[in-house]
Amino acid sequence: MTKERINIFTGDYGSGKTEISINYALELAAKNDKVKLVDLDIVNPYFRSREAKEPLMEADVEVVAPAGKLVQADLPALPPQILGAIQDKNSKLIFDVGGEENGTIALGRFRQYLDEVETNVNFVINPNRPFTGDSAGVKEVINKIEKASRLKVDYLISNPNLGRETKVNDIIEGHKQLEEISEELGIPIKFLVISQEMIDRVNLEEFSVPVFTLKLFMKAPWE
Amino acid sequence: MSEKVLMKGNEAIAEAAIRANCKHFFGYPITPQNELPAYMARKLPKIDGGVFLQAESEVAAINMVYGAAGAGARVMTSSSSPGISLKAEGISYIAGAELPAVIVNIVRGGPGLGGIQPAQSDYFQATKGMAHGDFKLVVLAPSSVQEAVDLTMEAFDIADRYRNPVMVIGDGIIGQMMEPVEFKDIGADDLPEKDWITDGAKGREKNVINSLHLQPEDLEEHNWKLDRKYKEIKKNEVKYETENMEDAEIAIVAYGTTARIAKTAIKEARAEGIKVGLIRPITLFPFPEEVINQAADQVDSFLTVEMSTGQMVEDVRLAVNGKKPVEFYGRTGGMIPSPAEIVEQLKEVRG
Repeated sequence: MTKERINIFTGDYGSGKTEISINYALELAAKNDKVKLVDLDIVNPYFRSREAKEPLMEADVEVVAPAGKLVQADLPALPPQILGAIQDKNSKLIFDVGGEENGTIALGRFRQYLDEVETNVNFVINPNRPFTGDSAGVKEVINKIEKASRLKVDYLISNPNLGRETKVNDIIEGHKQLEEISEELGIPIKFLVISQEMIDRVNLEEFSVPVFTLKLFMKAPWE
Repeated sequence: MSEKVLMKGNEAIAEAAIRANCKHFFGYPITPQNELPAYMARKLPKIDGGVFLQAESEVAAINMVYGAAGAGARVMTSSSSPGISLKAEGISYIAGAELPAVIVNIVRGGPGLGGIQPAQSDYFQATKGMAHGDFKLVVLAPSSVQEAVDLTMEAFDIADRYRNPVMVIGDGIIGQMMEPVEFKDIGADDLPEKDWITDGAKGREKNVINSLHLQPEDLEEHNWKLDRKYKEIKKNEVKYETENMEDAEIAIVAYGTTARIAKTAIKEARAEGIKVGLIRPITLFPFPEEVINQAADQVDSFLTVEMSTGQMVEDVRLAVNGKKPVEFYGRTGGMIPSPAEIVEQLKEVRG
């Protein structure tokens, strides 16, 4: 069980960390007894993983997030259960970390308790987002995040999309961009994310990395 | 990179301002609009002549806007409800001195500190009671991230054309949601020259930027001049969208995010045989009175839906002018009406 117990998802604002964290937690819960999702997003006040609490509870994933009235607060409130979760060696953990270096400072607070032997750090990239369309932009954000968290990024997560308007070509071209970024930075891609709506329209044999199917949980109020 | 970029409303407004040649931003952080100044802080220092400055307070920020606008710069500030209240005095000065500036309000629940979830309860403030004195802001209310981009770019042109502050108003959802956007060049090429700015009076008479007029005769004339400007704006700048109005018996009037929810509700209601359409004001000032008044000759009743306890509904009633009943449905304090709730209201209105 090397580098697999604690899975940290980080990235720039709006890269897709939260949806991926939720889906990853649900997938782990299908194979493991004790899965905990730590919502470390102290930056973004809307569309946080704590909002998908119900499907996660049904799958027996424990969501570690500020409780009660603090759910809607824009406060850097970190519940003490986070430390307990890190130290519970029988559990699998997913960290959903807030955007950019500001969000990552919260992760840095737990650095001393995170054992690199059992921890992997994943940097989620959507090349269709501002600032992370090329290796220079990605490098700048990764440097900030590594500095704030005092952890090294192990993998890139390729998440090319345009939200509800994603077309097959956006996935193919975006992933190509990611492969170039990966090569230039020398950081491997862990998997390519494709939404449930798009998965049947894409020829999966085209890709040399594993594909991760994403079910979207965050919805606009008119959807 | 493909032509479209996936952006949060807050980021997209910031990028749109930069594309509209706004190189100066002064602000103070507040949720839920923080991505806007954060984006400006990342981008503006890399642009030649660009200035991002986090002021010590909202009051300082709006007065920096006053100064930059007086010197002829395209300038923006952004905030959310309580922060806009703090900026109110400065906005009145900017309007009084007839300076072009763009002010963004990503509205959260109020009053007071309220909450951080989306609301539309600053309608009165934006369109009527922003601050002291006889003045108006032009108020633009996007209902998608793309429209936020287009209206922000246009806001600078409107501000320059009329020498008047323009507000882009969105609820928290508009600021926080992500949608793909593109940046089209829609800049006007017939804007008046800024020959009134204070940029060093070398070889010409000095210009004065001021909102103080101690002679009441002068101040009255200034107020009538502003009034003529607002009448001109009312004549030229009204924007609205209508949908499904051709055979409508009920008209929903809603703006921003609420209008999008209403569109879903209209689909569901029409599937159940309720003939309902939408009038969506895009400019809140000037308010699209005429289209609403004309619709009153066609429909049996109106339903205004807002994320407030009822603000825009007063303007709808003024526009309808008693011709037909105007009902209201609202959620407030950060609660969002659902399409199902609106369908329920439509059934009640139909009777």
